[in-house]
Amino acid sequence: MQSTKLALVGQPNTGKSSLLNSLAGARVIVSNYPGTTVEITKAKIKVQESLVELIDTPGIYSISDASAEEKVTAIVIFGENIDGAIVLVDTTGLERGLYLVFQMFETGIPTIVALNFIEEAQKKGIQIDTKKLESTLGVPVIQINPITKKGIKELSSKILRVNELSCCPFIVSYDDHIERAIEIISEGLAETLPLSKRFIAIRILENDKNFFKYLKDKTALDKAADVLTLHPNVSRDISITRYGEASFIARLVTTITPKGRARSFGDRLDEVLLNPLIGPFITFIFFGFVFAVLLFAGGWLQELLMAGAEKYLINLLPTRSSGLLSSMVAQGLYGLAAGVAIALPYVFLFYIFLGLLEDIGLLSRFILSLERPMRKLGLSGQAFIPAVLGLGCSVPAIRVMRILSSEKERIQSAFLFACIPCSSRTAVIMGIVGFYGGVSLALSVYFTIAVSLLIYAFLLKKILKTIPQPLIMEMPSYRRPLLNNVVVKGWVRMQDFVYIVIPLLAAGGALYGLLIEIGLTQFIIKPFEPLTVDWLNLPAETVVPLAYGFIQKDLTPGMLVAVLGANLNDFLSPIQLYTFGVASSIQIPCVIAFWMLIRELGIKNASLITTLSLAYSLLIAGLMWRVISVLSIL
Amino acid sequence: MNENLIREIMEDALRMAVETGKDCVSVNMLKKDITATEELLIEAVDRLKKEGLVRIKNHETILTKKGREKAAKILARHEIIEKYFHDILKEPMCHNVAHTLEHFVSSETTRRMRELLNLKQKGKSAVDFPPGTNILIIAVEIPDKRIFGRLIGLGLAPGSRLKIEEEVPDAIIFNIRGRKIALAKEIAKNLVAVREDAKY
Repeated sequence: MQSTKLALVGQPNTGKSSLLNSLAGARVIVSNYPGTTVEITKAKIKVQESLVELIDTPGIYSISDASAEEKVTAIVIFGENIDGAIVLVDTTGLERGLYLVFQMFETGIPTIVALNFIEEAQKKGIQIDTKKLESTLGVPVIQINPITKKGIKELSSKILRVNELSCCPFIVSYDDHIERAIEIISEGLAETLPLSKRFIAIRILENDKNFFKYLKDKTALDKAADVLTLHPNVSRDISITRYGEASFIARLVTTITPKGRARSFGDRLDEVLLNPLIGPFITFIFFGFVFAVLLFAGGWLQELLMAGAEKYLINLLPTRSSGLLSSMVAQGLYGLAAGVAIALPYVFLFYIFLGLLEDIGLLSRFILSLERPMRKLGLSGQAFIPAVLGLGCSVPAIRVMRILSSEKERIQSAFLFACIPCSSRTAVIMGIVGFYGGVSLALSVYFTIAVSLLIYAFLLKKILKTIPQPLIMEMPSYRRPLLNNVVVKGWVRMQDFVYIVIPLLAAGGALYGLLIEIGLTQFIIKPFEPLTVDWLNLPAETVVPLAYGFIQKDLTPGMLVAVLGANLNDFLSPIQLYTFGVASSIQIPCVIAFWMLIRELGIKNASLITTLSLAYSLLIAGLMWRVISVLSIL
Repeated sequence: MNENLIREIMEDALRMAVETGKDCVSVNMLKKDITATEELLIEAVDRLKKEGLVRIKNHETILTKKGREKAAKILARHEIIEKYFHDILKEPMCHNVAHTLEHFVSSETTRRMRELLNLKQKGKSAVDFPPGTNILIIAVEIPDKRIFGRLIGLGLAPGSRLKIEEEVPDAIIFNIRGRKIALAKEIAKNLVAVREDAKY
């Protein structure tokens, strides 16, 4: 069977994943290219007995090497040996879409243009003459709607014949000097090239270093510079010409009928959400509410799942002997259950929620409102998303940091997870401090963590001097979300958690089973006395639950009771409960989060972040109990 | 005799008369700046007299009212051409270029040059317009290639028409035919724009 390989290319929010979904359903494979953090989804579909492989690329504004998304898309276009490409264009912004289309034409890859959001454009009074556009561009132009499946059949049949597309799409011609320079560079290029000579020559003129390797005759650059004396900034002149052509053609095929002044619902919503005063207020209320719902619904679901799992596990181990193996198996299964119980309620619910906000178009509005307060902490508005997710579980939150544009900003926000209590740390604070010391004591732990977070963030801002990229963000029109899309996206984002974190939780549980069974923990009590007894004023045994906490935070409450006894009030004063709560909460929570940090930021950064965070937590906890005891004497 | 050359000398003579501030023309004065035979210079001054642009008063050849008006026009054209070549084309030899071109450039071309200059002068930073204004972007002055490319990709290019939707503390929200784009003020300040209905 003959197989065709196609790339889906388009600007952000042009509906690429919706199209992939309507063509392929949920049968997508997610992958990363080595050294990149941006995801690629692929799907194989059957069109009239032929196999078609579709590669969905991240949304890009143009083919260039400026952002991580653009680099990845470049890898797909240049390295995947594709037979053709579908460029998705948002009809309400035709000229922007055409800009990207013209670049694809330059590559020489057979291209089909798909116009999305036709209905939305019509509502705005924008009509496109598709036939005229098709004859101007010289390639098939198809109106599609992935939701109503309009145009999908036509698109599929065109996909199969992508190789037979006529040879000569519209090519932007530049200023005479630039054309001459393109000729000169083309003559200096190597014989075998992955893409058209013209495209590579233009990329070289645009100073894209990745293409310099195709230049055989290095003197061509100087020769080209000779004819470009009137163009001190060639790359800018090239983009302006290309954009000029795009908007000229867009105007040629567009008729705009001015619509009445009636403001749409979206406009009225924006009046509120984008208001400089009300917007941030609503954003905080909204996320507060979301967090409360997740904590409540998630906590309830988690309890339900754990209760069910425990019952099941007890039945599973009929011989409740205290053998080493059965202890490990039991604890391993317990870890597995804990993983599932966190994954489903917190992580999956949150991702579904995030996906909904994204697809409706609300997320970018919220990020705008958060931009100012987050910038005060030296971060961009985007950094709020991993932070909120961190309230559920730090591991997927660390992964979501990929949305941040610079590594420095990722490192800085990774530090903050130390002071963002995940659901397991919440369980320690509520289950130990709250249960034995009362709600107000638990709240004071939260308060301490919050203040520590702010101090930590300001210190980091001073030390790292991160300057987040200035805000450039499109706020897409409000759209009805495609539920299928949201669920698939949620699942894609959760795969790491399911395939990596949950097995690790099970392994951690098994390790824990092994450690208690052979009683290896006792020997660490003595050497840590200076820390526990002298600095933190806690019983020496508490080092055991603190240490186990690093394997899995969920183990802390159980271990504390195990080493001290069920009636904790006999062993710990309220101040000690508070100190224990603070010391066990301000940390990179567990070994899995640590591992995730290694994966995302490298071992050096991960170790630095974890060590510093641990030191910070011990410092705060030790200082706080001293301050409190001094205050209580006064 | 060379008709065009005489015309040029006549125009130069009128301009120089105004530039010196004395409003008078003499062959000796012309000799200093214009390389031409004395014959030609005399002929040019004669023509000026015949056409009623200069007259003799107290042994000096001074501009008539008509002559001053014509000189003012030539001077204005000279200034526009010089400024155009300086401001827009960044030509270092703009003054000399203007001396040459002022005799040839049609009034229609001069008008267009003036329009473009006015537009450039009227242009101000996009952050200086109040929300609700419709603007036309005339220049994107951003040296950073990445940010520049991103803006072009978003449709914030020279020639784009957009509306200032809202101003929030650190950013401006633009509206391009219903698509909203938030831009940090530190970037938006480098977009040069005029009001869309601006007269120039």
